[in-house]
Amino acid sequence: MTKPKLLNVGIDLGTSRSVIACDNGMRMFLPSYVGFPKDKVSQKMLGKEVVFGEDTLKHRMSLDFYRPIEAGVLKHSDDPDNDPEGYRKTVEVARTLLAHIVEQVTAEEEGDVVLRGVIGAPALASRKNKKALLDISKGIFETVMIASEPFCVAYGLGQLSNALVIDIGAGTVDLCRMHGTVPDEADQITTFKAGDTIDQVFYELINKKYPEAGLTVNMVKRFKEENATVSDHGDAIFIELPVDGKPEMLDVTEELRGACREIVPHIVAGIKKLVATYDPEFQNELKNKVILAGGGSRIIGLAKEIEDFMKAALGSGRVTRIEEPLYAGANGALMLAKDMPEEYWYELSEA
Amino acid sequence: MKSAAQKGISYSKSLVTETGKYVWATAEYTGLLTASYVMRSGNLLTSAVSRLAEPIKKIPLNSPLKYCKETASRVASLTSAGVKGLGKVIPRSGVEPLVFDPARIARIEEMLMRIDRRLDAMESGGAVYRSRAVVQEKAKLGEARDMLLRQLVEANKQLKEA
Repeated sequence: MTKPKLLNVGIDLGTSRSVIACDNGMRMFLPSYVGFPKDKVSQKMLGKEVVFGEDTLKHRMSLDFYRPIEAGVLKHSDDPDNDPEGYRKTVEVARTLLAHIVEQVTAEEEGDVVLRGVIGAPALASRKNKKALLDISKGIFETVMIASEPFCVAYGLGQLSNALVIDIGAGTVDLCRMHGTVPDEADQITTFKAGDTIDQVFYELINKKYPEAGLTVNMVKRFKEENATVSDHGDAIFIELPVDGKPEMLDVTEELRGACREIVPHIVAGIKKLVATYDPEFQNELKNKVILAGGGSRIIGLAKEIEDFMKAALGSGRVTRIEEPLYAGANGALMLAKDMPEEYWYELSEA
Repeated sequence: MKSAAQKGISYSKSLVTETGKYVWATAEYTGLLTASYVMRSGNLLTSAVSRLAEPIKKIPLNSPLKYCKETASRVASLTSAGVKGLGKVIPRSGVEPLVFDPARIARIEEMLMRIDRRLDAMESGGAVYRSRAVVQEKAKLGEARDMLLRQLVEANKQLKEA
């Protein structure tokens, strides 16, 4: 009998996207949406029992649509007893999503495969939130570990000391200062003014300016992901929207810029707090090593905007955006999984 | 109209031809795959020998160690020549097809090149080839990283036990 292959996997289960990286070289991301056909007719039409990612948006009318992650954590996981049925369904949906993305990266493997994974969680996820992640991974991984998402990013970048990582997601913005140890509560801040807030504000601003235009939050979300900016420079931004059924190009430059700027003061307040409570001897070093990660860090001009705010509030600051912001969390989680000594994995599996 | 016997003969003939083609294609594929691995190993060997010889190259000519330098240079040139010669004997994709189905050989060659390109892309991204992943030992961690991982494991053990 052949020995099963051992594969390590790093996962970032996000509110908007789920990202996975595997040490067989495969990696992918998928919008964290799951849909189940509403009835036999829609199942026949779709030809499958469950639909994932963008496809769920395309066929939304014929699906029971789910977003199992909310504000970075599993829905209802803060208080499962409050809505046991809702929690049960969320766990089922999230497990289906997790199994799907794992299958995508291991599909080419032949023979038996044993999986070990590290899953990222928001910086200040509660014990219950983390337990929920363990619940959904049962039966998928042989052993699994939960780690703070910004910590995964820092580990992946090798920035483990005197660095401040800001992971901008759809549901949360996680700030975490690294000082050579696993960060505790005092080292981390989570704000809920994140990508979804930008979508909502942008949607409201367009509605206010062009009340006759037909649009949904999903439409503005897709548009924002391609055009988001806080920069005062650059061309005017136009969105094509139906007005009384006829597509028209509408200028939304100021609305998009205003919506994207919505999250900046909250991020800067978090930076200020983490810097001010840090060892004074190393505060300058910390201020000069602010790292932006996550899908939201792709907003054009954001690093400069935060730097300007930091100069005004803290005297100085240097912000850099990492090269692959979308994969940073999953890559770091994968590195953690790979670096973890065998005996530690064994200890954990026996716990 | 053909008789049953003729039909049988024709069927057997076609079966033998097809089987022959299949056997030949399999042999070709195995040969090409082996050639690919031999070339890769050869390149690896050349690179390793060059690296080993690097410090020896720096020995000045008037040094008492100059004989080591000469020997090392000879070994390096011999290895390099050997690998290059091997490359000529077993060209990567230049085997003249002797079978009657060149399209099939072209497909196999294309498939091998695709595998090669894929391996290159994966290795350049830091991925470890699967068959090596099983036997590869984990890199030694620094004390600081080891302590970090220990803390993380302890936190996860507590989480599981809670």
